Amino acid sequence: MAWGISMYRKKHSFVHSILFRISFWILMPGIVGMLFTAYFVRIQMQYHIERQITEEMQRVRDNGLLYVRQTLLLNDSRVDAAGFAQYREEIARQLKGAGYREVFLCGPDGELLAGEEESFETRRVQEDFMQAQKQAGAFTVHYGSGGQCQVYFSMPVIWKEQPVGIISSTFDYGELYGGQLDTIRRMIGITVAVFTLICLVIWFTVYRILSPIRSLSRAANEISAHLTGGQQGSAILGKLQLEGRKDEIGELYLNDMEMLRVIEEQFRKIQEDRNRILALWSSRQEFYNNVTHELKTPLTTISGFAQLMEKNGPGDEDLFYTGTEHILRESTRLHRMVVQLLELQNRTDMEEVGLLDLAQILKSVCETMGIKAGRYGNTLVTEGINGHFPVLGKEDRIRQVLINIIDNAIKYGEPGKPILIRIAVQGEPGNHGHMETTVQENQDGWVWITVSNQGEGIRQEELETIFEPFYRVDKGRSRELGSSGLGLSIVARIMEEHGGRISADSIPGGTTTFTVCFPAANQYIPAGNS
Amino acid sequence: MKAFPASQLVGYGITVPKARKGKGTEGKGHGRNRDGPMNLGKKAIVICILEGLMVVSVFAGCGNREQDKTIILPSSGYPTADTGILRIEHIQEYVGSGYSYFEEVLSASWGEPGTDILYLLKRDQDQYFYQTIDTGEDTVISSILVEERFMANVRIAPGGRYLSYEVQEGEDMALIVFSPEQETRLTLRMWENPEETFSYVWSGDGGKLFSWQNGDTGDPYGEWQVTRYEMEVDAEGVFQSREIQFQMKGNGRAWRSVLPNEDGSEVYVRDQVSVFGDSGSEGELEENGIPADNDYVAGDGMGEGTNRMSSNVAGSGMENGMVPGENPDNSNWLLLPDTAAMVELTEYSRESVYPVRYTPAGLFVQEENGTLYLIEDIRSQPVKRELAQGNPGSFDPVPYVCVNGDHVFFMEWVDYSTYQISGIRIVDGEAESQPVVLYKESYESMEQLTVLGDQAVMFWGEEYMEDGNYRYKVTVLEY
Repeated sequence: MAWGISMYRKKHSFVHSILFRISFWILMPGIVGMLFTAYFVRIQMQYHIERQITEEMQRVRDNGLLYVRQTLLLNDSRVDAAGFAQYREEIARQLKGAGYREVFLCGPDGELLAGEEESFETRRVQEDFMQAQKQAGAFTVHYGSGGQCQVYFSMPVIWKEQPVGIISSTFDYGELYGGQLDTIRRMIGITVAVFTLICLVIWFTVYRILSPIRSLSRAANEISAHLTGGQQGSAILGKLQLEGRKDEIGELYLNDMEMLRVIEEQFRKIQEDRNRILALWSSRQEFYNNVTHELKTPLTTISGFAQLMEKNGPGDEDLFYTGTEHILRESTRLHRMVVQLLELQNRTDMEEVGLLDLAQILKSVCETMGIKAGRYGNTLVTEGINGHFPVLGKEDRIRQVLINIIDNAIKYGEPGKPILIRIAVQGEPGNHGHMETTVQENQDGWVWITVSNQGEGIRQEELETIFEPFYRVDKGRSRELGSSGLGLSIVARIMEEHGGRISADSIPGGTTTFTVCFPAANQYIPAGNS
Repeated sequence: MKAFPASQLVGYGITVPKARKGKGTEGKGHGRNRDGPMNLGKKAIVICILEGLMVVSVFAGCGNREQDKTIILPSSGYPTADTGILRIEHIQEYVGSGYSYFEEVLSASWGEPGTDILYLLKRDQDQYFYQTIDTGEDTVISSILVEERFMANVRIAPGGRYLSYEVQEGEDMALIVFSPEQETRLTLRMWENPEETFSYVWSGDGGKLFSWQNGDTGDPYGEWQVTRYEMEVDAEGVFQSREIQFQMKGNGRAWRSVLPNEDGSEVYVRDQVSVFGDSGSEGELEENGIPADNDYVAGDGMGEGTNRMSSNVAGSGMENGMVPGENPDNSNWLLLPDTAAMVELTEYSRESVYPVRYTPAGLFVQEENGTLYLIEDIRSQPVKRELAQGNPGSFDPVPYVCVNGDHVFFMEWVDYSTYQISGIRIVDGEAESQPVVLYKESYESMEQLTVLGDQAVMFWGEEYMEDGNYRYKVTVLEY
């Protein structure tokens, strides 16, 4: 069944192909034309032969009368039916001597006077003989299937308006007819051969002309199939080759190839945009879900304690203090979360950046965070902090970045282990995370700050999402409650605004390193100004 | 291929052509639905027509059927034996035969019209016999030994009273007339150079012989002579001749025609620079001045070769610049032997015509294309009338004119073995009809046609058999 459908489609496709149509419209009229030409040529040939025979039969008729009269005059006979009958043998002899074959001499009424009776039986019923009986000279041309052409001639002999007799004879025009027929056959044969050759040349030429179009069609089909399946078809275009075609077809082919490439490129962009949109949509949805969830949790706590305190009344002092503490803590957390959300949405006005010494900022932050680190039993070990690393930016925002990543290192670091903070100038950072910036290639001038701590680390799959809003690694690993999961998102946003990058590397159970790179002051190009 | 809505593609810089509105999108014109019911109908019609054409053409083009077709003959448009004005009323034939290695008929002449007397000059081994045959009884009345020397240029005078021929006598050539009745030979003239320009012709009544030859002056081609020999038998029974000679002024070497009338009282003479051949083209002169085909014969209706021109022409003459067409100054005269007068005719001298016969009706001439003309009143105010051009379907028509000039006969060949005699009647200088075919015969050769008076034509032919025998047939058609 499937094979049948496939064959049907192939046939259907071939029937509608240009090659088939051109072949059809050349072959069909050609063959029909040749056959009709053969027919008309034969008709024409017969017409000319009949005209020639008619002229000759006219002479034969005139001569026949002359011969009859000559014979009768020579025998001193009157030219009448009696003389005709009397000297029939002499007349027949004279006629045979003049080239007449199968001579029959008949009386005016058609009775046989001379000639073979057996043969005459078929002659007497022929139209020409019947015409001769009606006093009209006539002949019947018989065209045989093998190129024979016999002429049966009959004429009345009339002298001075009196019927004398009938002469009937046969003439063979087979040589003339057969010769012309052979000529026509040869001519048609040559015509057929030439036509076939022309058809083959045309077919081959058209086939060659259409070859690139067929290739393009196949390529378009395959590309279409690939694109429909979500794949790309660049490899197919690569397979297409067009050599030596500089004509219109070649130009069309090249244009179509270019068009296919453009379409494919456009499709690729569409796919990327679509994926991006879907990702954004998903991220946005997740963001709102997280926001809702994160807002709901403290509100539930606040609401719960508030309802309990209302129920128990002022007499339940323990509940009052416990509830108040929870309500304050959750409201604080809620406040902080709202603030962070606002920060996440707010963009830094990078038009009012200033030249900052990143080492000074880092040093200040380390002094502040060193207290917290000490409280968690960690120490902050700095390196390169006494140098000068000028960058362009807003100090409070940069400070927020540094506090955030050092705070995370403290919270998730193993107690008693030092937290290593290093600042240096290095080359272009690699592509880490999803931050984007633009840096002139092959030029150093990036200020790197790395913060490394020892701890359980972050799994590789989590590294890719830690900069998403509300993403938190296992909360059990945090030594501080109340994290909103927005810190690193804010950091990433700030780094993006400053044209920098942030990345994280972690060895589970080993070292976790967060790296932030700021473009040095002479390399700074804010994001979006590429 | 998955289709994207246009609205989705516009934002990506892709331009989507808008669909045409109106009838173009409804199944007609650009973007029509090709599989619509209307198109299916048209397709079916087209396919049916094509299939029909194919089938018809295959049957028509490849068919090779037997076929019979009867055609009724239309009238030929030419006069025939039953419709022609001129008819043969009686035919006489005499057939003889012999052994061709020893025998030969050299000339034949019929007696008076209406008689059955045939005169023949036959060669039997080295002897020449003049035979008189009664064709009605098929008996040889007499057979007279004429000559034992080699004879050439033999002619029996019309009526059979005289026989003329050339023989060599010693170192000279002689023109001899033999009288069968007297059984006497008469030498008319002798000349030294056997290649001298010389020929002769009998008058229609068979009593006068006209010869023409080079003159005796130092310029053999600038001057020539026409001589009339009138045969007579005096009271004592002596066979003799009276002669009168005309000195002619020539134009160098030329083709000469001497055409006496029936009784020889008037002779038309023409001296022509060039002549056309019987093939219809201008005659080419070979080195000796003889045309490439020197068998050119136009019958004068009197006998064999009476007008054969320059058959004896000889000698080198190219130094005289004798090239056809170079000398347009042909000349023609009318000789009146009875009064020894000679009238130079100015008309029709320049034209390339070939004189056929001079009759009371006028001078009959033939042009290069074979057309026969009658020039009436050639002596004073000539009028040229076109008569005929032979019969359609035949070739090489040679005209013969009767004594009165009112019947013309054409000897024509239908093919290379069949000849025919056709004729026209002339009334008031006009041909009454197209030539009527009067007689047709398949014979190997046709040697001579003679118009006997104004009643009959006589011709004879020969056939040679494979066994060495030959057959000759003399035919007389009375009209």
